Amino acid sequence: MVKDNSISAKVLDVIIYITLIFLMIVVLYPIIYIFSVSVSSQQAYESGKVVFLPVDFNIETYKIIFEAGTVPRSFLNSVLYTVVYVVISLFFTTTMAYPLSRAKERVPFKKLISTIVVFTMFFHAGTIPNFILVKNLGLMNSMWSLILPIAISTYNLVVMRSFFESIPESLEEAAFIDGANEIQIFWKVMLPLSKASLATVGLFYGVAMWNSWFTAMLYLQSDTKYPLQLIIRHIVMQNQMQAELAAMGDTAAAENATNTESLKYATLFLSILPMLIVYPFIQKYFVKGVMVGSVKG
Amino acid sequence: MASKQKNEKKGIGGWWKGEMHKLSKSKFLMLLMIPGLIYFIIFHYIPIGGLIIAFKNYKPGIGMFASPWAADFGLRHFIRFLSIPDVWNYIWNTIALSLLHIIWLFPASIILALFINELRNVHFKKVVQTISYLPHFVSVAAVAGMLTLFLTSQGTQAGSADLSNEGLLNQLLLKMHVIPEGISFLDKAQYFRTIYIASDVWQSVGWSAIIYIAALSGIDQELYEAATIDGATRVQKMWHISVQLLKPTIVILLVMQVGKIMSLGSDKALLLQRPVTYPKSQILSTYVYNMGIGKGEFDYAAAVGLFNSIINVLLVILANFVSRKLTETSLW
Repeated sequence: MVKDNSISAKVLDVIIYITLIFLMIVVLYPIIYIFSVSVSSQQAYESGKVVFLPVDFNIETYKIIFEAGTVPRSFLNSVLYTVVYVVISLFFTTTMAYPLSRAKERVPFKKLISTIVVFTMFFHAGTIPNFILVKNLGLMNSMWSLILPIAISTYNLVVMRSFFESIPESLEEAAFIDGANEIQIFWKVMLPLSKASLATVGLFYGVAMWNSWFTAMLYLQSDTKYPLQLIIRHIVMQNQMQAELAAMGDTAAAENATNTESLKYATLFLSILPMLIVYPFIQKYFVKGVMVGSVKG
Repeated sequence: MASKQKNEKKGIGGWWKGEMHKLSKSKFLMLLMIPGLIYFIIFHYIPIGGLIIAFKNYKPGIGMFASPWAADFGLRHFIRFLSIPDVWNYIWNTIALSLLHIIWLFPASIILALFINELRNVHFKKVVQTISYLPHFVSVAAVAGMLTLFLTSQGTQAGSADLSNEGLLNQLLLKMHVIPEGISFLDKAQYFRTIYIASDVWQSVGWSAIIYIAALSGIDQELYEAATIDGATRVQKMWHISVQLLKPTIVILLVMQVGKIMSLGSDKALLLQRPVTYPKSQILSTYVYNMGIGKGEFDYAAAVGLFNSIINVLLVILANFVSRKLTETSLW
């Protein structure tokens, strides 16, 4: 690119850099602040001394949280729901996306089935009929109530179908000539070629489940089954910390209720932390998936 | 080939025969689709059938089919909804939040993409992109949690040494004596939209920019070089080349967003609303939740939900029509 050294170009550069640096600060500041409060002393927080970095660094709060057990348990629940959901939804999504990606001469009822699928993108029955269905199916208060109703996301199905469509049919024809049957082609040719796509769609599903709270609130009654996001809502949002602490029993925290603020901040930080850790590794898959979805969606 | 043409002429019977012929040749493909089809029937089409309760006086004890039909030819619940004093308020709240979302997020993400596109330092560019996408991965529950903690207040006076009951924003404002006493922002209806939209922008501006960044990176660099030789400044190039070439993308996304104007989900609003802020924070989807799950009026809430869904479908069809006219691009 030809360099432009005019004053207006330099001014533009300054504006761009200032804006982008400001944006990065705005994005990161709340997250850093949450962490700082969680590891600062309660006195420092109360007097408003914690503004950016931790004051009187200590990890007492985290010890209390791990001893009390509510947060670690809901953390494990979230991991369990996410893993099971990713496996199940990938199975349902790939088995349906693959036939829908093949030529219509080969796939029975392709057009009818595509219509049935796409219609659900635009028309939803809504919260109430779904609630009644889950109840009638006897799924209430079980992890399946969170997983089965969303086993396929139509959007992810379309993304997966586009991935399969990008694999040329000539490859299948070659395998046919070599004597492979359809099952072998799907299992030994198509799936191994789609590893990156499976990772992308699997991550879409995983992040969605990890971050969801609404269906858990609708369908789960026993708090031992709550996922982490719902615990966040209860502890942070509804000022139920005292009740939670009492429920936690004989920990030091119950008497020392002055710690509640940093406990809230620490819980909140723990809910974001896993995403912060895996995010740099999964980012590129997501960007790729967004591209496919936006072109074909 | 000849038989296929014949099939098309034969109508339904011929179509059925043709599909069955395909089925006999590739049973495996059909077999693969069966789990998915069962899923769609159970978890999408049965609930659509379940919408029948919108026209009934639902009695959980005897089930939705045995329940008696609602008065006024089954339309009782719809009439009731349209005659509550707040109905237009709730509809307007839904539209206002969607519109504000579009008004703020669209320009912000386009400008962000243009700025990122101007960066020549590859490392800085990568850092900016990575950090700006990050909030997209933070859950709505955590965002609402942050807002609750940061905006909370028990009305502590300015100058007080004990700020333990004040959130971050109130602590800062009190220390700088901007406000005489702490403000509990989430309990004030007039702040609801600002809080909702500002956190939307925080969470999505980077992510929404991805699509524009991709479109910009596809632009032929020779266009910029030719413009430079013709004496164009960088600002002129941004406007006359980058923005002009983004226009089709912008138009499509904008039209589609407008089509979704009434389908705002309840997730975030439920977390941020308090009964005192209902005048601004009650949107259609939260109303369905509050009436249905909260108060157990399943039939009435289902009717409100159905009303909302029908408007959504009509709006999407309209948006698609407009998009096809403007850009020859459509969803189907």
